[in-house]
Amino acid sequence: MPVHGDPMLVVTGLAKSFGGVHAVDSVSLTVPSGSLTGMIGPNGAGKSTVLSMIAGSVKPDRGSIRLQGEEIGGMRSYRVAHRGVIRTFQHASVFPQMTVLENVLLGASPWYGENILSALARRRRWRREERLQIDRGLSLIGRLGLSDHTNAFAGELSGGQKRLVEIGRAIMARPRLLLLDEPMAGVSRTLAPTIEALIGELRQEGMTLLLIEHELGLVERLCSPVVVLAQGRVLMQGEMDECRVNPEVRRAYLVG
Amino acid sequence: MSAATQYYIATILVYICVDVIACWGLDLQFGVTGVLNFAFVLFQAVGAYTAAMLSLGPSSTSGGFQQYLVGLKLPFPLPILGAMLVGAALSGVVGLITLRRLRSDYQAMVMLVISVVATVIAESVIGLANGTAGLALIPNPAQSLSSLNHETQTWVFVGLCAVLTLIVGIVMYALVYSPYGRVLRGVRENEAAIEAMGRNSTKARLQVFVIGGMFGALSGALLAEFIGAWAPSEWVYPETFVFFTAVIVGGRGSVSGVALGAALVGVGVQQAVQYLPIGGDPIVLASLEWIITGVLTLTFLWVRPQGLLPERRRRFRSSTVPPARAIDGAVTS
Repeated sequence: MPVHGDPMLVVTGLAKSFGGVHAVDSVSLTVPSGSLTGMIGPNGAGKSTVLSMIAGSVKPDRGSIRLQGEEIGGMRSYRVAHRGVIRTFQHASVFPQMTVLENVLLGASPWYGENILSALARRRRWRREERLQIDRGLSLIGRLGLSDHTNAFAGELSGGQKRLVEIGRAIMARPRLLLLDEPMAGVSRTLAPTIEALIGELRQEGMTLLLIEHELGLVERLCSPVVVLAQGRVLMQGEMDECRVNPEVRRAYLVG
Repeated sequence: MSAATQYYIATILVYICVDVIACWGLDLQFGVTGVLNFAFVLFQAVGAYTAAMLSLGPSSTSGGFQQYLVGLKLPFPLPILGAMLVGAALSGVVGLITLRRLRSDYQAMVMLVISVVATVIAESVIGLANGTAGLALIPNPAQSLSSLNHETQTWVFVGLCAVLTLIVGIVMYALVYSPYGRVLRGVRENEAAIEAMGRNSTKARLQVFVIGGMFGALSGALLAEFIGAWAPSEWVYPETFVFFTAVIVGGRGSVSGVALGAALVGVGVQQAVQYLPIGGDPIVLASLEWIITGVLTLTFLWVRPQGLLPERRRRFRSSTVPPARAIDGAVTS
């Protein structure tokens, strides 16, 4: 059941052009707290660009992005991440030459020992904190079903496993808002149900998620509400069955 | 043991220490964090020139046969400390220019150009550091121990180098195998992802640039004080690639690997060519060193890019792990 409390994210009038191309043309949408909001639309609709602007890796030309009332539009990605917005990438972005556990450890909020002085001088204190994070990380890896690969290099895993590591890393960060950019891309049929179940569990545990997906079946099973984008504009925001019967949406998918 | 043999062994040991310290500096920048510092030898040179100018007297003394910017005649350990400070400061400046807005391949190009331009300036502006001729008569701090004979003074200096190498090694181990080191490797592996995890990659790269430059300057200071002279020919831009070869051959990212690489490539190659039965023409030997260095780089990048002693795979032990419920239908492959 959808939970519509105070919105987690309010985007107003967001716009971005690359050269002369209006990739995003005055997009406004709302992500309610505790919801699993879906963002769908044909290729080139501007979905990834909107996500990147929310996450801070692309700077908007215009518009506002408010996270629980705080303006984050135009902030650099590491500062947006500090405020609890964690994103995943279309190509599962693991750290290939580091183990699965190290990947997951890097998800945890920057902790003591991560600057030069404390790395050199305060070994006992950060060792203690690291121990706690290691236990949390190992438990999470178990939940993901990757215990056998704890010490494998992340670069050696399959696409679906990498995606699990990437989402696991994001979970470690305890985000307020999790942005998933096509989480099913590159994932085998064997692992897809696992990832779908994980996403569903996260929403049930109270996390707010914004999901871009092409697989409309998944969007229908999990997402409420759904935002439809086409050619840089929002066509509608509502429940999936409303979107299905909307004539503009149908036209966009046939033409776009 | 004859004085000549003693001096030979001492020289080898000093060169090993100097190369290890320098390569650790480059490893922190390139091996661990992925910054392609193609201007690295410039920071060694700045350390050497600074130590020289801080320990020499004003240029007008001893007949004024060499010109340089300042001569402060400071006692040990100030020239070495001063060299490290100037190296750190210059690294900060170069880092601010190159590491913020440029893409990584352009960064490398700009750094290479900076190294070349610096050599040209040092050669042309005579008043800076005596141009092409360079600085000579650089005092060795052990010489102030006048009660000891020359051989013992040399060994004291070797001891100093060894202690400093040990200290730098401890710092390297502490940095690389800590949460900070993990963030640095994250910057190397996937910059977009590390930023998405809330770490400022530019700040991290600037930090290792400054620390690595400081180690490079330290190595230059020790080298200049040992040889007693320093000229632009010692730090032409290709020398940076000898350090790169050492880091790659030894094992980029691995502290002990890079130390091994520095000893093998920095000193081993240079000594090995002298024992080849091809006559001792110094120009031939020098050219052979370059050829061997180049071949080593290509071979290792092709056949064993992780180096002789690769970066360790880090395994962590848990204290207690509660049994975790896997997601329904979880399949691990």
